[in-house]
Amino acid sequence: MIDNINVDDLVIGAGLCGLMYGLTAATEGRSVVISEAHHKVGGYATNFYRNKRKFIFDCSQHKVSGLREHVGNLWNTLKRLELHSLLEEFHLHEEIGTVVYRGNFIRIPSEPNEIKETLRMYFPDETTGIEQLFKDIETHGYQHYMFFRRLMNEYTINKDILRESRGLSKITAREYFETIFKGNDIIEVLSPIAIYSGSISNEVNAFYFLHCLYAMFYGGQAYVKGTGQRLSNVLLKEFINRGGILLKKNPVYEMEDHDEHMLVKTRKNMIRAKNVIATCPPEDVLKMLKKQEYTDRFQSVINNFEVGWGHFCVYIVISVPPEEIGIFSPEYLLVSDSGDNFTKEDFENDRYYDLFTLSISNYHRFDPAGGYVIQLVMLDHGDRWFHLSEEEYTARKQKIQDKFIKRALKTFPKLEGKLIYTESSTPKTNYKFTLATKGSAFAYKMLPRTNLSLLSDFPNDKIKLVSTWAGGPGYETAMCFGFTQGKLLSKNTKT
Amino acid sequence: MEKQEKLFEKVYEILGDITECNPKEIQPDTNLLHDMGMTSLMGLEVLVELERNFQVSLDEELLANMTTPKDIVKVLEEELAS
Repeated sequence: MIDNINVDDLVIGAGLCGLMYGLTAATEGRSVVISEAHHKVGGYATNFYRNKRKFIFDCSQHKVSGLREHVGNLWNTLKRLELHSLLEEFHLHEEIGTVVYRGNFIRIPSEPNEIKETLRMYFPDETTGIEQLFKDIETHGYQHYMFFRRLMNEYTINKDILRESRGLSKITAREYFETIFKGNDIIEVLSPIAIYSGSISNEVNAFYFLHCLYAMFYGGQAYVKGTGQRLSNVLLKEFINRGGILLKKNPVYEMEDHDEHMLVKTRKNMIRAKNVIATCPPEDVLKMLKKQEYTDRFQSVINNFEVGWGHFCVYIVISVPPEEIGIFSPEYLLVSDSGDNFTKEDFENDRYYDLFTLSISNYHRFDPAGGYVIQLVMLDHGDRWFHLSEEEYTARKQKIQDKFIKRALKTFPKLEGKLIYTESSTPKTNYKFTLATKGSAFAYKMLPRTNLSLLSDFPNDKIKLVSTWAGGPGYETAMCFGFTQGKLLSKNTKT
Repeated sequence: MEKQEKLFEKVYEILGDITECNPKEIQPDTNLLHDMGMTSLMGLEVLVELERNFQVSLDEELLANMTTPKDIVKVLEEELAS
């Protein structure tokens, strides 16, 4: 049992961002300890078992972008870290998914030109809008995506489009769509794709949304067999191989500034760290520090941001292979007739769960060893769950689980009688295992005018906020951000 | 120092336009990030406008050290002198 540890970097949290930071810093020669509260690594990128390990379920939505050779940022990152065998574990999707809208099963291919063709086929009146959309994805979306490469000195900014990009960052994706398209149907088919980044088209800023479309359409969408947990386990193994130390079941309680280092009190140890890398929510960092002269000021900075969406997930095991009941695509996005939209009122009463887009993921395809698993997911928010009494919570969870299954049955009637196991999770469940504020699965909402730069300068320069809260949501972003921060910090502290 | 005053005026104009703040409310010590909500993207736009207006070439690395209008004017004065 190690009582006192001295280390260059103490990383709070072994999610994807923390693991990548740790791996990078260790590769650069820094001594790194990752302290994780949970008994396993990965944060959202974790799996759990049922029925004596015969059923395996994924806590996240396993959608990883950026794996296209040379083009993808994540591909670039993993190559730089020499994680070649991990790269080989990624399989590119042959299609992005299938949007089910008004009786149409619209299969979205994975090549941009094919996606364009598909859209033109279904929406022949929207050719101009489709052209404009792809032009904007290839300019604005591309540039936003390439900011990451700029940090590696591999990209020169296209200065001519900056002003227009700023304009796009001030409106929502839906508002943007309304400027380029004539009708609504194409909007209802394109906007649910935002679910991948935890974005809702009537909220998310258009510039950020275009970047998500670039990442998905051009960056290369892929999966790993064994999904989130496999990815996390491989990163952990590599972190340890390169000299890193992981402390599990070891929550961080408090930290104190001792000038030359931070003194961090965790469950099992006292750790002296030159730097603390916090992948936990920014407000939790403030709670770990005793009140400082900057605490109130920084709290008001944090108050600028809105905690993001989490999800409600129904985990299902069926008695036959998914193909037998008509599930061929890796994912189906079930859009209701009223579209991928809802009002505040819909959200505050439970009509939302009938109206909003429901995703059906074919997990058997990603992880054949895990059983005939499908997962039903809808974006949901902790605000609807945390205040309930135990009874209310249980009743509500059951009610919504039943609703989702009913909706799935409508599209896939052969599902009837084939469900052999079901279980659900809410944002509250996710909070329990990830400690993400309000069970958010996507950090802060990327709304118009959301400015994450405000979090890049924590008032204590021994503490860095390196997380999806500070860098933006999603697998690819979490991993690339952890990597760039790992590189940058090493660069800045080399003598 | 009339020349410097003119520099500040132009800088406030550019900053005001891009961050959508009132140029009249900007001071030499106004913090670009915290008081004006400048994003990294806006920072680049500012750099582009400064280059265009003053016919100078500015390194993107300089952005990291520009936290107030005073910092910007200092860099401009150095560039214009050389």
